[in-house]
Amino acid sequence: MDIVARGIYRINLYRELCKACGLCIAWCPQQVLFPDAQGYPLANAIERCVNCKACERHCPDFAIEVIPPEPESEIADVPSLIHAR
Amino acid sequence: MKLQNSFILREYLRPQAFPTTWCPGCGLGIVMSSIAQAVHFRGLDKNNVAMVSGIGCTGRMSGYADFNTLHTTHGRAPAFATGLKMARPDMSVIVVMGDGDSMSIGGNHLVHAMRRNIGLTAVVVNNAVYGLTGGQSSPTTPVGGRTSTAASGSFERPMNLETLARAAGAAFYARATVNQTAALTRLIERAMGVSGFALVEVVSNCHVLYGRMNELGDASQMMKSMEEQTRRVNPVLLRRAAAPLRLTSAGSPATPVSTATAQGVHQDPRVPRGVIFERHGSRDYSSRYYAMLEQKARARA
Amino acid sequence: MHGNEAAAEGAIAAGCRFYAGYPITPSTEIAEILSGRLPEVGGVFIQMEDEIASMAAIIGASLGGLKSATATSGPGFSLMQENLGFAVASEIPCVVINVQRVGPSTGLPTKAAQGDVMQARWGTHGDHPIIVLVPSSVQEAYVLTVRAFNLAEKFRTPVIVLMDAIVAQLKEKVELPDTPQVVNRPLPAESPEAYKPFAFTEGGVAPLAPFGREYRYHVTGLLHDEHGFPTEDAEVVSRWWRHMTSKIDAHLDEILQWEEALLDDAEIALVAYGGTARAAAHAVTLARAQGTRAGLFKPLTIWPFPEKAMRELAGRVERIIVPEMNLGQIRLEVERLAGGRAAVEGVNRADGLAITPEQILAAIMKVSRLAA
Repeated sequence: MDIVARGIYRINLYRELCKACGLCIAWCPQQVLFPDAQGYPLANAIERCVNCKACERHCPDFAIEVIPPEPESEIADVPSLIHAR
Repeated sequence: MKLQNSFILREYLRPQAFPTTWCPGCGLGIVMSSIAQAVHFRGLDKNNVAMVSGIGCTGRMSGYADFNTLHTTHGRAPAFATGLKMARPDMSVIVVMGDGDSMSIGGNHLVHAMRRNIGLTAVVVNNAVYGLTGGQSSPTTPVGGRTSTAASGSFERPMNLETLARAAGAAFYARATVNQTAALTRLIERAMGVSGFALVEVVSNCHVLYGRMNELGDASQMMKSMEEQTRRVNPVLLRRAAAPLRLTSAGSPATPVSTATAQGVHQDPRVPRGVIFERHGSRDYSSRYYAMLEQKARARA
Repeated sequence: MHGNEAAAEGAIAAGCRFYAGYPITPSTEIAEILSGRLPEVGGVFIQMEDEIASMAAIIGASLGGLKSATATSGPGFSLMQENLGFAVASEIPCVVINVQRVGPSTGLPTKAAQGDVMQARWGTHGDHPIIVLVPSSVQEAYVLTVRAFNLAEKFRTPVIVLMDAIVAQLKEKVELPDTPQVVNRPLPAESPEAYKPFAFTEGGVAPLAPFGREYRYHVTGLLHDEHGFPTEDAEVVSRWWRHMTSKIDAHLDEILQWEEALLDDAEIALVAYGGTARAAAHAVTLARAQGTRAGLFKPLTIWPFPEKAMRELAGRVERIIVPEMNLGQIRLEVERLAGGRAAVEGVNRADGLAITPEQILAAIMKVSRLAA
């Protein structure tokens, strides 16, 4: 998990769920996200994030979330969820 | 209002079954997220929610959703769901199907579930192609659409799910796309409140097969074209319409479709999305049946 | 009461509270009777769009916690096969009553036959265990329908009641027990976290929690692990097979039922089931009157076939005659089990007419002369 916190908003990236489809990068209106060498998103310009959640809404794999200071719901610990059995 | 992805995952999905088998960028995950959020916003207890699915890429959704889930045979999901709903009328039963699943092999079951007006929420994910088996023509492949079984383009007329639903007697019909995710969630949430058979057609992308074969671009490009080729319906105009909407395609975004809508009022080549129709005074078959049972019991007493 | 009525009443007595079906001769009376009877007992009757949907609906209702059944005839039974396989693979209890008719396709819709014996065993695709019961009287139609529900619940499997039109349409006197013994579905003892809905227990099955409790599990026709999730792991799949076969094989003493008449000193054994067993019983009496030592072996459970009993019988008698209203479906099974120790031959007809006692007697006399 890659947590980026630089401005008001944070972005959690769950690499184990991510398929590098690029939808989050394509739909971000603020150019917050950039692909790494394998196409996985990096939130390199987090300070530009405006919490529109376009990335989160378009992610078919629940692999990214934007975390505002007052989130709409709880935030769960994704890595432990994936490995629980 | 958008629930946090990690919260959806924990509360309504089965994260240990992730990642899904769906291709990168497939809209099915978005549909699943909207269904989960619709259940949340309706305040339903997930113990009392069932998801019944058929076969195909869409059929796999039931394995990832943390409800009472039933992954049935190809096309038969509405019939399995009918049995379940009749046994447990208090349960919210969501049926997820693909276009081939619901309109080809399962067409008969869909028609009769709508005719009975049984209280199911049907979500038909329409990507105009058979994805799991490798890109064959489906009943909603647009005329001219190239598939692995129509190399020079399909020449069959696609099924119009909307007019089918209207004719068969569905209580509610809405169309959404995987691109307008908030609207998708809202429409499914609304469908789940309908007494009777409610159908939400979700236009989705198979960029890996249909998109590639028809040079429609990647997932995000296909989603962008959904925005260009659809428009929000104006419910007032729809109510005033003298004739029902007539589509020449079931609403695939891949090929432009012509729409004659609300004759003389509005002309627009784009496919309408939103609530297309809702039958007022509709009553779920299962609640009517159980009311009949109660009446019989009272008469005996 | 006739056989179809007895089956319908047997279903009610066994606790069946859901019926989905599609009309087809000669089974239709079952649907007609249950359409009136089920609402009286608070149950659900629904006429579906076809037999595929009927089979699907009873599986859905069974998962909802109701004992469920459908009834049909050959062509409809063919349509049910895919979903019947689903019920086998996902271990959903349900009962299918098939009142057979003659021939492939529409055949002779109103005439009696026993042509679906092999379809009942192997009709759905792929290897699979199945239980099939065959009544030969109206009384047995009632008793075996109750038993079908009990076995279905106990072993979490579809059970087929294979009738022929002789039994289904026959009117005779029956004695209905006030309260037949009924097996009800237990709830899991474990917590939802510990619950394995498809536990691979050698010779047993996990209790099936109805949908709508706190046990939220996944049911699929894909081969699955003990939790119900799809798997392609060969080791898990082979454990699944062991579980599926052993849950039946370990309980053959309980599942298998047959009746024997005058076999102790018999030289010639008749193996007959369903409506044909009635003619066979009479033929035994006629043969005995003429001094020929004939006896009758009548399976009530036809699948799994009573293999051990048949092997023993073949070692005891000189000859076995298998009268059937088909071209020799169970004869194949009897020949296999006799293994050459007793000569096996059939008396067969599939022209819509019942096999008469005289026809069977003639066959007995012919082989008895050969033996002499």
